[in-house]
Amino acid sequence: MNRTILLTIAALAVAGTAQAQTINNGQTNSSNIRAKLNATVSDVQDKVALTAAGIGNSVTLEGATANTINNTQRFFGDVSSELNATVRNVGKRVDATSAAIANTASIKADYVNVVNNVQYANYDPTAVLNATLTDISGEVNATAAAISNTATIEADLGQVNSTQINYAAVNATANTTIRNVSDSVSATAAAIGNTLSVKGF
Amino acid sequence: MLKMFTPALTVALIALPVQGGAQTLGRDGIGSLEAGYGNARAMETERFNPSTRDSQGNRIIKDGVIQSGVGGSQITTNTNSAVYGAAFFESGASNSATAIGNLVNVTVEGSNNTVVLNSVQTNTGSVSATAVLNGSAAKSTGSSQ
Repeated sequence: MNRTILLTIAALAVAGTAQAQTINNGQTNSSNIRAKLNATVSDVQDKVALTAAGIGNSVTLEGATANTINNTQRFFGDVSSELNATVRNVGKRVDATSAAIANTASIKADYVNVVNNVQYANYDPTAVLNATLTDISGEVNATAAAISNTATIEADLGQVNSTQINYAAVNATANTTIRNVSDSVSATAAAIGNTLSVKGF
Repeated sequence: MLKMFTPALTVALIALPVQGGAQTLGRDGIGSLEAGYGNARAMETERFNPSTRDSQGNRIIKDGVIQSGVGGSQITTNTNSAVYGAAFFESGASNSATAIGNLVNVTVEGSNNTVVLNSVQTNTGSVSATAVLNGSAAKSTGSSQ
């Protein structure tokens, strides 16, 4: 994850200092990524947010103008997240999230001529949420999300070339017990192989 | 006796299709056949619309194919998808499980834009989502491609 963060910062710096640049991001991760959080929380007047997130490769690019952005991410490890949460007597909103993501890319710019995106995921993202949430005054959102490849592109752009390959099993499980909630309750499990979202202007 | 009935029966069989065909076509039906394929009545007086853009002037080309603009230049594809949701427990409570193999969502805002998208998505893994809320389960399984 350290290498991933450095690459992200470097890419951001390039995008912010010049116009009409080509940005190349290459990330390969072959190790296992595991995130586990066991939390017991009680008697809180404000909101509570609990998150266990395991991510293989992640890149976020934001800036003004780029001629070409090339993103290649390969994940050959095993990514998993587990959140075991017991929460009671909370005055406001409670969010409990377990997220396992192999590759994620987010690009946001004023203008990009061409975006080339390639993402591979070989092993199994697994997200597990076990939560007991009781006596909550605000809304409750309990989420388990497992995603192999995800890319979000938001820019004034000309062309997007994207290849997303998922060979992995994707599993999301949310086991929740939720009682005595004053506001809305949402329990969600989402498993996604490949997702590409493009928003152009 | 058999020779007497046969001619009468033949005449009756011939008469029926002729009468039925006239009722099906009618005046307009015959006219459309005479006009030829793709040349309906008054079409020659209408302007040809060559635009491949939607009402906002945006155009999306996905995998080399111009997409018909529908409602704000948005297209969404979703394969291997299955969604199961159930609302219960109390008003405002929901429990949902969503499994998606491949998903593409394209939105173009503004006007007079052209977005070219070449997307390849391959999913061969099993995709499974299970949500259990207070013992009630919602499960969704997206089949492999």
